[in-house]
Amino acid sequence: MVPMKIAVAKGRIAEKARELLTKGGIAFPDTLFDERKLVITSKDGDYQLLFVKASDVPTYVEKGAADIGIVGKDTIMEDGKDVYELQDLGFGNCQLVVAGFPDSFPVDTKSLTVATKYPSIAKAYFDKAGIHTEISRLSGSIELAPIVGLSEVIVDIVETGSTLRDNGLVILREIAKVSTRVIVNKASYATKTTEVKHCMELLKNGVEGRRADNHNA
Amino acid sequence: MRNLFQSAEEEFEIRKVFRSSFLPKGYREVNLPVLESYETYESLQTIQNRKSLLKLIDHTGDIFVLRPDVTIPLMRELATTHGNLDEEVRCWYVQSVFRQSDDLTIPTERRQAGIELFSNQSAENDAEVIGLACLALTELGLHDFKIELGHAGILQELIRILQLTKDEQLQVKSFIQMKNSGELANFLQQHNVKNQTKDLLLETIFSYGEATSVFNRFREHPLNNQLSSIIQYIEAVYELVLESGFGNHVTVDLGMVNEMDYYSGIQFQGFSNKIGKPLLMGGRYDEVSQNFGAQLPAVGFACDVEAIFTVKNNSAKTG
Repeated sequence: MVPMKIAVAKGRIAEKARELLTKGGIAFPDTLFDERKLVITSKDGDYQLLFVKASDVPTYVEKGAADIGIVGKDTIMEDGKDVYELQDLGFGNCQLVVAGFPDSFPVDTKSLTVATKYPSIAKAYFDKAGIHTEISRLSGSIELAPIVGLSEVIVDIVETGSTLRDNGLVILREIAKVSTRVIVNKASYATKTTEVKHCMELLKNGVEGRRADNHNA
Repeated sequence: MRNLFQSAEEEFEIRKVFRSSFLPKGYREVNLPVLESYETYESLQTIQNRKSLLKLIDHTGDIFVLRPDVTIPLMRELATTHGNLDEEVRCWYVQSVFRQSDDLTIPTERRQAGIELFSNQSAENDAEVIGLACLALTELGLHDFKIELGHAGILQELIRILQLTKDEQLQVKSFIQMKNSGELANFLQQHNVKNQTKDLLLETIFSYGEATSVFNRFREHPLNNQLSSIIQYIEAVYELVLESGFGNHVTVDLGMVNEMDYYSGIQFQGFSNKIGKPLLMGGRYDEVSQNFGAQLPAVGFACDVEAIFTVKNNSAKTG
């Protein structure tokens, strides 16, 4: 059998994904799980984990290089790829927000300068609100932008809000709730329906197992 | 990357297969103009689609587009000669279409091979076209393909029952298109949708797979007359495709949402496990011709020629 290919975002999500699959009953050789590996295959040979950059996961899945992808909702929204989004794994919870100084986004705002890692999400959000924007795309330390006057507001994900607070910034609007999702290639869903549905069950079992663990603790 | 000679060989091969498969069923080849008036598309397309059009301006200032599809120009031509469908018309084509995409890996010029059957809606006519799609793929040497079968009327009816704003309708559609049951459930909860309607909408997402079990499961819900008759209709189409010997290729997807929102009846998509995007798309669109002042109900499909040969060449390599 050709293994089911699962693209996962390197780092924390990869660790969690492996944990869920293991709880769901798929064993991966421990020794192979090191950071430099790009691909690991399960002991039974049925599953392959591909470690890729988070922002590349939707591309792998849309093009069919991976059947399944595990990635944050923020990345899925930004990319807008034509894939199925079958499950919410319920970890990696955070908010996608508009943030800035408390007075940077009055109700009657007509135009704004925005700094963000998510230009598509930001544009769609402000367009819908009828606000004209000038968007600067940044790739890190977004909170710096309003402080140095690069932008009036930022669009970013916020977990605890401590980075914002430390820099005198506040959440001005919530755009969406973010968590880790499972996406699936449409051709894989059509041609490997049983296998894909089985994998969803395994992940679901893994999630429920984990929730039960938390509950016990 | 394909070379010049290979690409010409492929086009010859697909023409040969289409001609030999479809001529006996009464389908004739058509050629269509590459340039189409911009007005033809102005009223038809969504903003997103209009952005993808390649435009030209002639010396009088009139705007033209390079045809982004074959169906619409064919419909417009036939509207002038066969305005009210006094007889059934069967056509096939292999033609280039032109669309710009933000995704630079997608070429602007793509070749499509397809058929159109201008006829009143009937299970026989719809099944004929699906059967011919299966026949063409088989004759081209593809064997492991799946045809997903859905119906535009299901979602139309459910959305009518919901009575949402335009914006909310688009949200519901996009959740169903992504088979995102979790967020759809939350959305319906927040909008105080009746449990019965909510369950039915969620069921469309799960109604995917082997035909009989999908129909049976869907029927366990209380369905209004419109929905029951749609299910009965898809079932009739499926039975006929089964009789034609291609039933094992068919998967039912009652939650299918197509980017092209002009479909009015059955809709279908073909996939292979060797490529991530659809091999073909099709369906029935009975209202499009009204834009040209005609009554030309039609059902058809278009194959992505490059996708088909990518699959064929991959299969040849891996055995």
